[in-house]
Amino acid sequence: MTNLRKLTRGIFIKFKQVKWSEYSWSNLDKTKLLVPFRLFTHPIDTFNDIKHEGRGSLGLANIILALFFIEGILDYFFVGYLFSNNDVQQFSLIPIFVQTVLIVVLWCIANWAMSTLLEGSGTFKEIWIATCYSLTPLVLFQVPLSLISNVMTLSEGMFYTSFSVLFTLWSLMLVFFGMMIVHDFTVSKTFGSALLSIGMIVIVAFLVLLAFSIFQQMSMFVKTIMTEITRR
Amino acid sequence: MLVVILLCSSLTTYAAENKNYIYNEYAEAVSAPTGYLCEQVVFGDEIGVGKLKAPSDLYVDSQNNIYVADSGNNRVLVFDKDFTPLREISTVILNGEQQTLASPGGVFAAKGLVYICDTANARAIAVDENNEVVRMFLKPETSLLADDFEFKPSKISVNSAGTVFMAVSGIYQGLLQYSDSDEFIGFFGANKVEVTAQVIIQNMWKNIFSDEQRESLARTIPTEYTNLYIDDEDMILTATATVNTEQIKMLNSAGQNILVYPGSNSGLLQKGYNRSNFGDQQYNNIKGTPQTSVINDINVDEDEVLAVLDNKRGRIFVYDSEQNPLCIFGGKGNQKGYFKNAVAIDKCESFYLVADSEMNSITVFKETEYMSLIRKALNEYSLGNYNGSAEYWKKVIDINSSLPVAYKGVGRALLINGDYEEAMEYLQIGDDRFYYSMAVEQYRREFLRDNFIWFVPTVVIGLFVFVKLMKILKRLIVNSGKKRGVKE
Repeated sequence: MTNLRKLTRGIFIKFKQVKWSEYSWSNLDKTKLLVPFRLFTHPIDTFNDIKHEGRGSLGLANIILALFFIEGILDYFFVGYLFSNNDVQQFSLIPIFVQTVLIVVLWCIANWAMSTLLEGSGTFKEIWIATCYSLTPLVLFQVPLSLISNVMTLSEGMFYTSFSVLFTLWSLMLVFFGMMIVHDFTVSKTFGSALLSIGMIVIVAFLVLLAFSIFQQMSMFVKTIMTEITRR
Repeated sequence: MLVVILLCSSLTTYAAENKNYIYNEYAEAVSAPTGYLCEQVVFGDEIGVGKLKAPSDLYVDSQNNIYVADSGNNRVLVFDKDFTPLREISTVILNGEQQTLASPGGVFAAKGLVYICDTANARAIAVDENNEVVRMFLKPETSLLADDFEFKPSKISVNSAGTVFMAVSGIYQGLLQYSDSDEFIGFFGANKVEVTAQVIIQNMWKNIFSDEQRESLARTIPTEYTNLYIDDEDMILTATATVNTEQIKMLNSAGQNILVYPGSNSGLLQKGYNRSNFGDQQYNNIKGTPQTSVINDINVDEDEVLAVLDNKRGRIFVYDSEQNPLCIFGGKGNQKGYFKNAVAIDKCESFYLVADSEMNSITVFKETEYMSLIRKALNEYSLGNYNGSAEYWKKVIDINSSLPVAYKGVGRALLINGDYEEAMEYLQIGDDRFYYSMAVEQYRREFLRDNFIWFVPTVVIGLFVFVKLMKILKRLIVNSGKKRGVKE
């Protein structure tokens, strides 16, 4: 029990040490709000600013990720009937959470682990901020595109799909540049580390599924033994 | 993964019980009103022809005479539509010589001739009203068939030109085609080999193996046709039993499949119902083998309504010309209207006749009022009377609100009437993406035409104001930064 007490105590002390006045509206650097938008025109410069001049904000990164999640939900409902396979009655937050938040978290962990091995200079915080900021094009444009798809016909569906792919590629490209600058990698090394990260995501997903199914089997086993004992 | 397995196991509810159901656009079974009810079950001794024994085929000609291949008794029976016996063919005269039939497997009648697959005699014959053999179709002399190949014609059908098409068990090269002068023309419209993982792996091994090793591999051959039906327009419909998809095909004169499976090959998104899968959509797996429907007979009527007989579960699936499911009836069991081994289906007036080779009976199904509404709607639609069709579809919706095809019907009529907004609503419920797209196009055009005067200025001014606001906001932020000495 002492450990738990220590932990709560520690959290309490940490909480008290936070200087809340630093987080007041007037003290916040509002110019940092413009940083994600600057990514559109000067991606490399902006990532350099984030890396070397501390222009990135963890809070804003988290907000963008939250918006990305919300965008995923809205997209599920807003996309035009002709272009969706979504059954509204079967709506579930879990796949959307996996597709948006979890994949980003996994990517950041995998990339951080990989870059540590490959001597990249980025910290986890920098990777996190760069990745989340890179989602801006998707966050901004995907929902309007889905709304417009409601008045599109099948023959115009090409535009919907190509734009949708375009925004995704744009975001992926930004992630690529972000990783390159955050870690001070060359292009080829970034590419290699990205591939390794993806491989690692696959391994992590496999392990999680494995652990999950083993846990299920274990619980089933215990349950059967329990029934065996109680019924005898 | 586990969730998927759990889901699959819960889907079999309807497959196990004899309930009335239909598949919705998500390929989920939902309960539906009865489409056909059992009118009577006909046994041979009740109508004075002696007990039937393993009847194998059933055919109704254009005069509504019923032909039954009474396989176990080595005879073919002919009835009129009230099951009054007209004729019994058990011996035929070939060149002045009396010969008996041997377990006839298929029967067909056209232009005064009765075509019989004389299965155990390894031939198919056509007899006139004096039981004289007029035409005879024998095992073709072709290098494609081994000399010791047992020739067992199972089903036969003839088109209006007198060309004979025959399904022969064990022949995977397609249907056998005979000219009107009884000569073998060739094989027609073979099934394609289904590309499965097994086939791909085998092909890979074939490249590596030596010739001797290759010999020992199982050959990948296409599946054989189990049945065929030639409709009024000489289109040949075929049934294949051992495949999971495209069990029904419509072959043109070149032997190509021209049946349109909406959604599956038109590039449209599909919510889950692949129209190239006939029979049950939800089934369980036994030892890794999906228990899909085994289709062994088909029938198309003048409304292009397709009836498909599933031997595995004794069910009849009725589809319209776009493979939308209309109703499902029958099932396995001992009661009236259920089957032990349903083998053949045909349509006599508005009744469906189904032969059961184990109960030795012919079951007559009569359409319910619900089904006759659907039929009237389809009929009006094919005549081009869309509004009349929509009236009937609306009545169908009153009875069964979960039949997508009814919403489609109403939606299309609304689209033609120019009521685009409501049409979109109905077409979306009916999951008819192609017509929905047309409705959207028209609705959009109409909306722009009516509202152009305020719509375009609003959009332009809105964009302008938005851009201005963003610029002001940006300047505010930058200015606040300048005070703190942050560079932009």
